[in-house]
Amino acid sequence: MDLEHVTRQVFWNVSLVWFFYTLSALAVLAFATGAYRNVSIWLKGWTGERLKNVSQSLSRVLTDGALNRKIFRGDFAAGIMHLCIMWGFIVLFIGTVLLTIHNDIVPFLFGYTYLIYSFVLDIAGVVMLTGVVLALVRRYVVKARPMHSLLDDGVILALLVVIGITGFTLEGLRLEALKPAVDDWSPIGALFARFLDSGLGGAKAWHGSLWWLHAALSLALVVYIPLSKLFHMFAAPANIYLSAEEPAVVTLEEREKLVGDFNQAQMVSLDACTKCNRCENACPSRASGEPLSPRGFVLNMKGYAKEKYGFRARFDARAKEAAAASQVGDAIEDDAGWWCTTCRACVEQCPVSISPMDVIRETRVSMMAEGRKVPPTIRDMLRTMSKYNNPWESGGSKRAAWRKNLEAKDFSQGDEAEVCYWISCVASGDVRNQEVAKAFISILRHAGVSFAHLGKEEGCCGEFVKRLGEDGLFEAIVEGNFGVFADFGISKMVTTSPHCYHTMKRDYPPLRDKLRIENAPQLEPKHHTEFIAELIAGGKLTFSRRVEKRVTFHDPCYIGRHDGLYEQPRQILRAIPGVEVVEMERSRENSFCCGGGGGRMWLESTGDERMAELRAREAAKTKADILVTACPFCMSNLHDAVKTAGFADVMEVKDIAELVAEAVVSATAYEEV
Amino acid sequence: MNIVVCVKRVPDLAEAEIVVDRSEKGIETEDLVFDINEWDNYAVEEAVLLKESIGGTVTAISLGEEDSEEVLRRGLAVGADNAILLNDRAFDGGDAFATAKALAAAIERNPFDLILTGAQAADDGYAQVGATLAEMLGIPHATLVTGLEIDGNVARVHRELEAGLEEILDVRLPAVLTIQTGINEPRYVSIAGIRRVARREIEVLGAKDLGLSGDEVGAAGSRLEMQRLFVPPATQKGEILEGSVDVTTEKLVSIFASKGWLA
Repeated sequence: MDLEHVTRQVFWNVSLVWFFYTLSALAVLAFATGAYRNVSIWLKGWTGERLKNVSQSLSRVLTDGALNRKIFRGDFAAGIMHLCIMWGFIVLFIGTVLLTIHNDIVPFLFGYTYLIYSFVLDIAGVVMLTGVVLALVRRYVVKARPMHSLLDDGVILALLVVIGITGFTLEGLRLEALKPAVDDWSPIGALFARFLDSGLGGAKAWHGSLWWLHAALSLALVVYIPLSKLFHMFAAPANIYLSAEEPAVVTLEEREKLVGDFNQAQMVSLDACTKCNRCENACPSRASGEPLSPRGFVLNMKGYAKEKYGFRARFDARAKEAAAASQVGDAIEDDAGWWCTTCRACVEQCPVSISPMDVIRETRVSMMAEGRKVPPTIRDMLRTMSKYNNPWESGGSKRAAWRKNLEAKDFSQGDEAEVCYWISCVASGDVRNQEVAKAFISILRHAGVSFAHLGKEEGCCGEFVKRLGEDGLFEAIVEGNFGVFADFGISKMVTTSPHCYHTMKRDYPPLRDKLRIENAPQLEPKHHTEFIAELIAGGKLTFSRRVEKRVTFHDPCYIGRHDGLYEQPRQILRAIPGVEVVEMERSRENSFCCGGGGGRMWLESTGDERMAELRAREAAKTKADILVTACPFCMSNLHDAVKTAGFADVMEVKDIAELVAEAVVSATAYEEV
Repeated sequence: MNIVVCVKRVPDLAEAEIVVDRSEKGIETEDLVFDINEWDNYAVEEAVLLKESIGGTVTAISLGEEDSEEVLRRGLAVGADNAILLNDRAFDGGDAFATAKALAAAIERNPFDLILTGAQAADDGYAQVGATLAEMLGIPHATLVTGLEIDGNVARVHRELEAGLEEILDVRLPAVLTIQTGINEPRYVSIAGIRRVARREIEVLGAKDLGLSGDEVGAAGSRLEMQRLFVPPATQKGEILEGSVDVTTEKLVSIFASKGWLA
């Protein structure tokens, strides 16, 4: 037996090979045209920003792209399924390319090289088919997770199944007809050959027609890639790469120069969506029965982008006119853009790093500029905000008066201190949250921290203005606040609001540089959980009383998912003598939003049950005496929800600062505040 | 359709602490926040909505000092095509009649089909400019309009009456309509929207440009003269009696007795 000369006779039993080549060329052309369309739309979002940390982005592509890390998260079977399909497909594709090289350029698939080639491809085929069958079973039989299956989901899987099975059948028929001395190294092909041997005669004739079916479907798949969710095979890794860093802040001035409605990473992300529906399943607004679907939103925007920037808009005069006039707001049904609480649960879930949250915020920016589709309650709040620098009252005299009663140092009255306690609008205006501010001040006093607040000079941080997409107003607020910080020489900052904290930490510094705000200090904002945890670690707080309570901690989105402060609050709770900490079903990165973020404090829920009520129910299941949080919006919403959901008798809602204050401060000192 | 909409910049008084100035004819404005008159805000939105549905142009016009440019620019951001500011020392101190005179002269310079004004201004509350303007231009007017459709050269107008009644009138165009709040949902005007129109030109006209003499406008051309502006003395607070019917009755009787009304 002559192993050295073993090879495959490419196009064995195939007539009209030229026709196949013509078809292939057309398919490749169609693919290239579709891919060009998609990529040219991506480029409409070009902002000129470059990633800072390329190696980190590449390693994210490796883990999340090549190894499907996030697909495995919380759904192992889904990970196996996708990994099989993906790698099976990639190896089979490479195999086809190698075969083309062998046949048309440099013949090299002989002997052992060919045998190994043949073996690897056989295995890849089985792996892919296994994945596809898993997918079919999960999607259509066991319905592993709520998904919206559309025609193309089925078409893609069917194509892959038929291409895979016809491939093996062809191999079997070929082996059966040629009866080669060495059975290639194609265990599966051989298996098919044996099976066919027993049932079918005329292998050669069957092979001839089946080959064309296999070829036609394979080419159809190639054409279909850029037109369907399959394009995620390019868009997903590209998006994982581009989204490894938080999106750069785009100033109003920069935005005026941009062509598209979305930045590049967002444009890419629209194509990266595979409709896996994990975002929708994690969305608190959706869970409460509101009409928002992050997935639906992303796909809607994908359709909008394709219409506005696609080929028709470029070459068909009438479509061009329509596209030029079309605005994001027109593509969004009713209030869909305003339901998002920006809780980041969708971002956390997305296997391919799409941020539906940022896509939604981006459309808010456009809708703000257009003005028509801004809900009246939000419109009125923003008008108040732009006139009075806070969302609730006009004069600001009431909150200034309340702050005066705190009898703490006040920068605006000429006092000096090391740390600025940024009280926040909610804690200044809302009676329940005022208690939190008092508790935190008593802690600061107890620990001997040199602190002062800004008194009448404290306005709004502008966080929800930013989330609502009124970037111009946000920039004005940031400039004003930096002016105040500069006047009083403030850089160290602590706040009891995750929203103030997050925006000062993430949104202020880039704007400081981009807006070239002169004399603006470098801010070092801390959230009070961070600050208290440090005080405890530094031995500055001594607990003198036990708090014999069972508590559960509700992770506020803006210190949790947005900033990763999961440990600090738990460290604090564990440090308080007597406290027993139990976790809710969903905690840390899976925490369920109270419904207060993203401007939702100014938009009434239309769902079946408020998000906060859903959360209160979940908390009540832990049999905790106290539902602890660390955010004024969470406090307001959960405080109400515990009452409306009927748990007021069994569970209290407290800020973590209140628990700490109870344990460290003597009763009289606490009352004095 | 050429639509003209009259707008005014006024202080936001809803929750402000108001201090009457020394002249006793005005208020201290230093700590006040100014904005477009709320009724005018609806009028601008209505004008732009009309333009968006049936086409045409919208011209926003305001009488005031340089600061009033901000309410005109706001109008441009909403969708007005042109903006005119009537700014002249000669206009100072004008009442509704004198203001309407200047507005009429400015509006007459170009062809127009429809003039919208707010039903009244939040500061002086005269509610006269619209009607006076119509009279000066010799065209019909309708006040307190809460709904509006245009059909050819007729405006079908909804008016809110007392006792929950609503009437529908057909008004021949050109006409002046004074707009009531609630006729629409005014769109939000963002900073980005204002910036987009930051460089648009606002035409500034004085009395001479309008062919008006100094004694036709401003205080000299006014028919009303303000005598005094003041905060009326607070009347005594009412007293609310609490408790059961027996208790409150007893209290009431004793109050009557103490006043000597039961003698």
